[in-house]
Amino acid sequence: MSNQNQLITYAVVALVIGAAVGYLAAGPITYNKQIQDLQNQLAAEGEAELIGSLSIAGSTTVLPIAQECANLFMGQNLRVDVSVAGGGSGAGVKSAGSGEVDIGEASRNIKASELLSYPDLVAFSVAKDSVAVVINPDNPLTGSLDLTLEQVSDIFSGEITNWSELGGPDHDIEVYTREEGSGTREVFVDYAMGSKEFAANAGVKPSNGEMRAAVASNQYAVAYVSFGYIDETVSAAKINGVEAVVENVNNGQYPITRILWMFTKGMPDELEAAFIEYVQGPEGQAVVEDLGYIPIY
Amino acid sequence: MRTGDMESKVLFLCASLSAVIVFLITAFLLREGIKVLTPDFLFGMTWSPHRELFGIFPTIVGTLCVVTGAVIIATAIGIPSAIFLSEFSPFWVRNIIKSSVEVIVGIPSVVIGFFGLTVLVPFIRDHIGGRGESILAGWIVLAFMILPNLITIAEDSLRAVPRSYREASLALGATKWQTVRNVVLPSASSGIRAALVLGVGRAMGETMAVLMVVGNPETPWIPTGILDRVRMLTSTIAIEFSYAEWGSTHQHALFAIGVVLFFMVTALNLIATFVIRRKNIQ
Repeated sequence: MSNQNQLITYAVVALVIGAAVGYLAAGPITYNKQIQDLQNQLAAEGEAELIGSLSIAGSTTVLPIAQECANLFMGQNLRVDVSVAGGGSGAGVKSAGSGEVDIGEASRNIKASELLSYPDLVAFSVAKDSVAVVINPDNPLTGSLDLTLEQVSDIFSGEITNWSELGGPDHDIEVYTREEGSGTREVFVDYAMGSKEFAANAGVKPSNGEMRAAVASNQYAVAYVSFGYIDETVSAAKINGVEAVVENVNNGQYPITRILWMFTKGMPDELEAAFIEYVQGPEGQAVVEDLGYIPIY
Repeated sequence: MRTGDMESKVLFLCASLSAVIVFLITAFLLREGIKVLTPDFLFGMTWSPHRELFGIFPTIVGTLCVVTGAVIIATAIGIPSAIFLSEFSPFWVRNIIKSSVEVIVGIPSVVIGFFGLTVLVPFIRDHIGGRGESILAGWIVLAFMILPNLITIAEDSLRAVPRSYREASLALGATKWQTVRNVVLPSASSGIRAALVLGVGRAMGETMAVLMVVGNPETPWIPTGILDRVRMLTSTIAIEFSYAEWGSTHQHALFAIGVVLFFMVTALNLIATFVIRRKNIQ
């Protein structure tokens, strides 16, 4: 009798375990089936799946756009791997032109000399941007600093050396600048510096991020950064009474504006084209806007 | 074929590889840099690539200032540490100090630079003056980086002095300190010197950490005080190389800086070897 009871108990336990295993195993199967259905559906719609890897390098101004778009793009194309690096506009043109990377980025126009070296570069505009003069939020002039382009060039060339000359505290102005060849620097020179040289004692920082960090950590510092790098850690000065915001670039009141570019060597292949179209498309342009740059499509 | 022939050939290949690589690097640097290696380049006072002015004299002086100061600080702390560890320290104290010193070696230089930028630089700005980014900041960061190797090598060479030397000195009635000063230190001097030379070489070639704290002015000048900002030879290459147009004078000038750096470190090693050898012959 007790033997029979034991047998029944075993049978019940076996059934429960079996059911549990079956139930758990069925989970993945339905999940796999869903993915398969989705893939079939995509195939049926004629969307060829993108496969491969893309390397992108260049301007630190364009970098955040490329990085964010790459993340979203990889989320939608699971078999695509996009790697994004900095290096600067010069490096972006050079490495795209020589084929080291698939897509180069620059925050300035291609120079004639570069076109001579790399005649088969094809350029795609991806966004508009501007350059702002930024100071530390703890600087008493924060919010009220309003400069003419003439004053901007005087500050950065070392002719105005004390904040008191601008109505601020009696302390040296500590100027930071980008390294030679930086797209941001070249745009800043074109619009603000003209033929003036940067002050010899200006500290050189090799990226937008380091410029911002230098100003954020130093009450008496002044630097210039891409609009995309303005955040609460720094405060942008007005130029000619015009606030450094995207609307004022769009309506032409803010005096500095530039196009941000991506390049390929020769016409882009399928994957390169897909990525550039993504950046230029609605989702990419939404990223552009979120990051503080100006959409152009 | 004799046994061992094959093996020795493989060993020879491995050994010659590093010599070949050194030779190739030197040849490449020279080929790229030789065009701009003129007195104007070495003694020119203005570095401003967009004006086609390539003078690295202030950069050389700046590099030497930072390296010399860092090595002096590191020596002033490192050699006494090594003497303590090898001659006076109880076993357990030595274990603790040595292992923490060895941990420093493992810290990547960019992390030390980051620490310098976020802690040291603001501290100097607030409490000493200037912008914070300065020769002084470079000294401290570099000294910290060369200290561990200096201590380790100096201590090893102190411990390598035969016990019998110490015993003989003590038996003659010398005190412990007299023994260290007159017997142990002179016997270990070549090793200590080697430690210093390695430290100088490391300091001269260090890039990331110092780049972050020495300030890198747009147009470097000859520094006049320890709060002045300077450029290092290495940081000039690191900052500008990715932007220099391929084949431009600017790029050749950066290669030429590499040549200068290479010869400075080599010359230093040769001098050190010479000094050590002469000392040993005496």
